This record gives sequence, structure tokens and C-alpha cells, in this order.
Amino acid sequence: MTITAMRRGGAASLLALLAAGAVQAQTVSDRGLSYTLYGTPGLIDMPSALSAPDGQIAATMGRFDGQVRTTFTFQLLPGLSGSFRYSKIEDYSLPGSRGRVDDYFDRSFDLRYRFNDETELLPAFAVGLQDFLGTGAYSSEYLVATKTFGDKIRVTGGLGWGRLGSDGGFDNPLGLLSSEFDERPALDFGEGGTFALDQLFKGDAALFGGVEYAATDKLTLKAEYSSDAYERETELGLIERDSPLNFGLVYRPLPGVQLGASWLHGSELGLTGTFLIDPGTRPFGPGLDPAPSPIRIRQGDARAAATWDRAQIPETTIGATLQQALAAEGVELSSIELSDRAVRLRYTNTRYRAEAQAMGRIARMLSLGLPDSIERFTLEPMQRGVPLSAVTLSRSDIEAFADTAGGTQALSQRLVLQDAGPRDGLEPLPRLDDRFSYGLAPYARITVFNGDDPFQVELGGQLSARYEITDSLVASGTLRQQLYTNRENPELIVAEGDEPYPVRRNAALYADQGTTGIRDLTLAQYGRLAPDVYSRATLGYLEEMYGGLSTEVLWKPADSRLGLGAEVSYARQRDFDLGFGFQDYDVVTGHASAYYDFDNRFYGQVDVGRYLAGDWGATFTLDREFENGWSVGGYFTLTDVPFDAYGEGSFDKGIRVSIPLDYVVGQPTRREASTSLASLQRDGGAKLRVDGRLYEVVRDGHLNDLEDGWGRFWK
Amino acid sequence: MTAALLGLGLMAGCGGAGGLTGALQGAIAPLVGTQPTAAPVAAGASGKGRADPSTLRRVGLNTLGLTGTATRLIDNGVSASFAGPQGFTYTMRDGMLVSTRGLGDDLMATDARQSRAALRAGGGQARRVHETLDGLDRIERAEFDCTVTPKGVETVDLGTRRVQARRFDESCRGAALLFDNYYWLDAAGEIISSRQFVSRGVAYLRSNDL
Repeated sequence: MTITAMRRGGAASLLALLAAGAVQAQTVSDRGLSYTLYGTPGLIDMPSALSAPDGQIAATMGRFDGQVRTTFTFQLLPGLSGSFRYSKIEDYSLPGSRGRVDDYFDRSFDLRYRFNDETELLPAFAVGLQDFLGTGAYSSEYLVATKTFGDKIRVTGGLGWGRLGSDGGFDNPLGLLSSEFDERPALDFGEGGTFALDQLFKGDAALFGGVEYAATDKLTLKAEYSSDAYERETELGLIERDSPLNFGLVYRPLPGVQLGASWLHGSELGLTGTFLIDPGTRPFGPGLDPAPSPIRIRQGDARAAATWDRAQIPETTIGATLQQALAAEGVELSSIELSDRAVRLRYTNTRYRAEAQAMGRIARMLSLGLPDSIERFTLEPMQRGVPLSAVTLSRSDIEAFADTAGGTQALSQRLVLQDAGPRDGLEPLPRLDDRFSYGLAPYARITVFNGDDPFQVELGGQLSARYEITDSLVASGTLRQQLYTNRENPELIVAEGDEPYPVRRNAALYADQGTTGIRDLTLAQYGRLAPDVYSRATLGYLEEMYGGLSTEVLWKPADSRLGLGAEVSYARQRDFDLGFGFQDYDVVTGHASAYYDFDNRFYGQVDVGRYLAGDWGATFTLDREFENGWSVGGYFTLTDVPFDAYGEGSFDKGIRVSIPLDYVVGQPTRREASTSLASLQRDGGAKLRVDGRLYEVVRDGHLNDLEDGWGRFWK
Repeated sequence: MTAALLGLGLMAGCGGAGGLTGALQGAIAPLVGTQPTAAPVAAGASGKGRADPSTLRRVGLNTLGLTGTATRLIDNGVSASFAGPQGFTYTMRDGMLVSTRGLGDDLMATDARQSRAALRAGGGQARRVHETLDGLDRIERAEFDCTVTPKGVETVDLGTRRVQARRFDESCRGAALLFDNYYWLDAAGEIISSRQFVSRGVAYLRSNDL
């Protein structure tokens, strides 16, 4: 499942903070944690210095008179969290603007960094930036400390600026450093979405704080002193703020669910609901995978056999029977090389997310079925007909380490990982599986965060079909039939002034006119040009809006952290009706890309090149990946399209989440459900969306992904 | 040779390891069967008809509500693997449970050699290691300090027969977990019945000879 959403996310700031290092684990402080109306760990409306357990994602909806805040908070590192928020404020308008809109929609982004773990004497300290990327409606900064006393009581106190310095404010203590801190400059809004650096920690500061009392394991009572005057809301008559004191409670009926109620400002009722997801905790534990076949251990002298009797077992029989046996494990064996002492296999694993798990299952089969003299197993996993790497295992190790404590690790230390070997020597096997496959499935497309029309939904059915002409040459296509949409009739958008050509903004027209249409229809060829160099060419209707020819080359040694790639495509805009026709707009687009695995669960990618609208620039991406296949990351793109020509948001940026389906269903599958939550897509920094880009195809069989999945070898 | 062939066939038949072994029956078995040295392998069924009782076990997983007969999939001499109801499998090394598969929260691997030695010695201290798989696909290693205590001779009902056996209790304490295993040993010192800990999610596996 790839959810592309939360356009306001910025990765640059994350990098900066990561560079600052200091990763601490927390023990006491994440106990009995609850969430604010802003969806961050804290009191009622005020933040605390606490962090959620590493990797946790909290989805919170907070509501009080006229405001609904929907927030996703991700604990990026043990001390660092990021929050993305989408809010609706009735009858609101930004400070300084006139008039008001019926429903004001606002996106905001926060970061919080906790400096230290709480100790017996020392509280936890944290610094936070709230809404520092968006329109500034919620913008504030704070320093906060939290201390837990015993099992029941927790006290928080902090110093806030911006919104959190608006009630009971005093002269900014940072004014001692420089007079620049005394005044908070007005926000230079522009198109929004840029860093409001000149505002940070400026203007009056104020104190806030509160107490939490854990009445039972499931119930926490809270009281706080709020330093947010809700100035603009009060001015507009939206909120009546009679008191700075707020009172609330949080109830946890089930693990992962928190329900809260509060009495705010002496006048308003607030409600919150929080759902927690922990990527590291699978709903089905390690997985409900059916048991693998047992391992056969060769007895005594058999191991020493120098060869086997080919008259009794011809090589062709071994290949054909193994192919049948492996098919039961979702492994398609395509070629085999046998010698007296070794076997080499090329196969495609179609079932297991972790290639390591497929390797374990293959090794078991080989131990059962192969002549005793064969000691060395070389496994070459393929995807899309391209061999990715070669893992060589000793059969004696397989026999010795199965079911043995420490055996998983010992085996990983003793295996040999290399680039896949040459084609020579491999005996191709006739294909058993169907070359043709198809599927019928529902689809849903939800577009949120679009300023004027925040929730658009499209539902329908799609028929996908695929024919493998060879392992590496594949024809595939998807036909879609829309059944329902709440989109209203969109108008054709044309570029005005110095705006880029609307390469993406007419997406709604495709949904409107292409109710029955071809989503994609392509012929794709994958190849391996040299041991470390992979290639792809895709021709046809590449994606909903563009067709053409896309070519790609990737250099990525199996044991390297670095990958380098280049993609060049000719793309022409398709007709809105999703038929075979094209419009006049065409472009040559492409990027040079560098991929790097930082070895601390972070993956970086930089793409430099020409985008769909002909603009030049670069995209920076940083993902935190979990060993079990989850990935949460952010990206931004800067191109030569000026911010004001780009329009709302100033430049393209977002947060992406990818969830492996086996996490959800507990059964082995390589699928990641393709539900995408598209967000506001504008024209600057827009990329062609081609399926099956090389890095994602190749990396499964390479060092880091193998290491990540290695625990599943014996599963 | 026939025995080997049928042994793998049996794996398929017992519904154990499911469709997987179904394919094995037709595919891998002929290869194994033609091995000159395959004698100790999968020495399962003896000819046609009823299976040899020595290859069968009565098993129970109370927390999962699974009880029934398990069939030996393979006998590797030092260890043997069995397939139980609904396709789960487990491996015993000299009577000690060393792994399970197909149960979700499986026991991935075990070092129970000291516990086995303590049983043989009539009691004593032992350290054991259990490995499980966590939600991030990492092997989690847990160490336990165990005390093996003799509990005297009891009559054990093996279903088909009642035998006198020496009972031992093994009480284990780890960083965050306590469990108690029970063993019944025959006169030759073989474990003929036991209740052994699998994992938090699965709790105990009971297995006895028939």
C-alpha cells in the first residue's frame, strides 16, 4: 500500500536534525502517553516533552467548537517526531486577511525533538516547532520539560512563543541575546508551504504547564494552564475564552485506542480520538506462514560422496522435479546448473516478501531431494526475468544450523553473497506456470488536501492482465471502469502568466471524462547489461496521463550501499478520455539518480533532472524503512519554477507511507496494496509515474534487504 | 527405498505442511528414493496399510485448541520432525522440542542440550536458549536458567498403552518469562511423553509416543 499524502512534509529539516545525532531510547516516559487536540504527545492543548515508542504512528482527530484537527504523528527516531495535520476551522480567516471563508482548510507540520531521557532527578526536555511550514495558523515554538513522579503523577512545564506566547506573555528572554528576538515579524505568506525561519522563537514568550494523574491503567485525568489566547478565533467571535485553564480525561478502552474529552477555556467541550499503529508490532506476530518442508540431514559417509550416479538420476529429471516441487512454494524455477558437488538455480520468488525466506524454503527442498554429493547451493533470485544476486550456502551448514540456537546468525555470516553468475552453464527449463494472468479488483482513489474540495473520492473496478512473452519481456495493461465519484464537473485548466504547463493539474478531467478507459498498457523489457548494471525499457501508455517510451539504467552491485541510475523518457500527454489518443503536449524528461542506504534504517535518494513541465531541478527523498517492509518517508522537489508560479504550496513536497500486505493479513505475499491517497498535485517538479522502476525491483535481492529479511530464512 | 518414497508421501497425506508436501510427493520423492544412502531418511510407513506406531505421536496445543495425531515427516537420527493437525510441524532433538512451524508465534530454534543432560543425570541445573521471531523479522534470543527436578515414578497413559515412567519437572526463569516443562522418561532414558514450552503466543506443546 503506497499512500502518497501529506504534501506539507519537508525532509530537509529532518536531515539536519538527524545529523545532530543523539538517538536515545526512552523507558519511563512513553508509559501512559496520551495525545493533545493537536495529535502530539502532551496534555490537552499544550505539548509535553514526551515521545511515543520509536516508529509508532498516531492518528488523532481532535474536535472542539468549530475546529477539527486530523493529525498523523510519526516517531521518526527515539527522540524525534514529526506531525502532519489537516485542519478545518469554520468561519476562519488568517490574521491580517479580510473577510472569512465558510470552512477554512489548513495543513500544518510540526517537529519535536527530545534531548534526554527522564531520570530519577532530571525531567525530559524537548524543543518543538509547531506549524513551521504551513500557513502559520497554528505556528508556535516551545521548550518544555516533563517529569514523572511515581506511577501516578506527571508534571509538565514549558515556555512558548507564537501562539503559545499569546496569553500571559512577557518580553522574550532571548531578547538578551539579540534585540531581533523582541518582535515576531508578520508571516510573509506568499504561496505558503515555505519555512518561516524568520519567525522562530521571536516575539513575546509565555509559560504553560499542567498535571496528569493516572487514576487507573486505562484512565488519565489532566489539568493544564494554556498560554494560547486563541486571539484570532476570539477576534472573529468563534471561541469564547473565559479561562486559561483546561480540564480533561483520556480513556484507553483497548490497546492502541485512546478517547479523550476536555472542558476548554471555561466554555467549550473538546473531544479526541487517537489510534496507534506500531510498524514493529505485527497484528499476526511473526506471520501465519504454513510450515515449510523439513530438512533432511545426510548421514555419515553420504556427505563424502564425490559424485552421484547420473544413470539413476538424470540431470533433466532433477531439474524438472525440483521445478514442480518449488512451484508449491510459489517459486518459479527457470534454469539450473548441476555438477558433482554443486547446484546453481535461477528462480523467481512470487510469494515471499523477504527473498531470504524463499531461499530458506528452497534450501529445505534441495536438502530433501538432491543427491548427497551436492554440497554447495547457489541461489540466484530473479525479479522480472533479471537475476539480482547469487547467494551460496553450504549444505552442511543448512543441516547443522536448522533449529539450532544462533543458527540464523551463523548462517548469515557464512553465506557468500555475490553478483549473479553468468548465463553460461545454466540449463533452461520449460515454463510450467501460466504466462498469462489477469485479475479483477475494485479500486478507490481518494484525493484529499485539495484546498477547495478537500475530499474527493472515486470508486470503480479494474481488470488487469499480463502476458509474459519471456521472463523479462512483459505485456501488461489495466482497464478501469469508474462507478462512483463525488467530483464536480472540473474545468480545463490552462497555464496563466508564467505558470508551467498544467501537466498534472487537469487530473480531475481524466477522472471526469475517462470513466471507462485504459489506465496503462505497456510492453516492458528488463535486462542485465553487465554484472552490476540493469536496464529497463517501457513502451506504451505508461500511466493515466502520459504515454511514450521510458528507458532506465541502474548500476547497483549486490553488496553495495550505493546505487546510481539514469532514466530518460519521451512522454506525450494522453487524451482525457483514457482512450488511445494523445494531446499535443510532449516532453523529454529524465533524471540521474543516486540511491544510498545509510545503514541506520534510513534510505536516501536524490534525483536531478528535467521534470514533466520541462522544468529542471532535483528531488530529495529520505525514507525510514523497517526490517519488516514498512517504510515512512518524506521528499521535496525544487525546480526552476518560481514559488509564485508554482502556486499553492510553493514547491512539491510530501510524505509517503508504504505498508507490506503480509503485515496486514499475516500470510506470505509480496503485494503492497496499491491504494494511493493522492494529494494536491501541481505542475512544477512533477515526475512521470512508470511502474517497475529498477531500484525497487533489484534491491530485494541485495545485501540490505537480504539482511533485513534474514530472520525469516528458517520460518 | 519404498519406505522413503512412502514416507514423503505420508507427509502429504497427513495434511501436514499442506499443499507443499503434496507437491513433494510427486516431485522430490523420486529423487530421494533413488538415493543409495537414503535409508535413514523418512523411514515412515512400513509397507501399505497402517502406519508404524513408532512414527506417530499424540499432540496437543491447548491454547490453540489443536489436538490429534502427528506423523513423523523425517527421521534424521539426531532429530525428527513431525506434522500435526492443520499442518503445523515440530522438531524434536532427542525428545527435546527444538522448533515449531506453522503456529504463528513459532519457536524458531532452541538449545536445550543442558536440560537434556540434566534429565539424563537425574536432575540438576541447566541453561537453555530459545529463539523466536519478532515483528521486525529479527531473531529474538532469550536465555533461561532452569532447574530439573525428579518427581518419582508415575503411570502414564499413552492412549494405546499405560506405562510406568519417571517424571521430571523443569522450572525455567528468564528475564521476563517463567515456564515449567514436564517430562516422562522410560527405563531406557527416552522421553516418551512431555509438555514443553513453545512461545508466549502458543504456550505449551504436549507430545507423547503411542
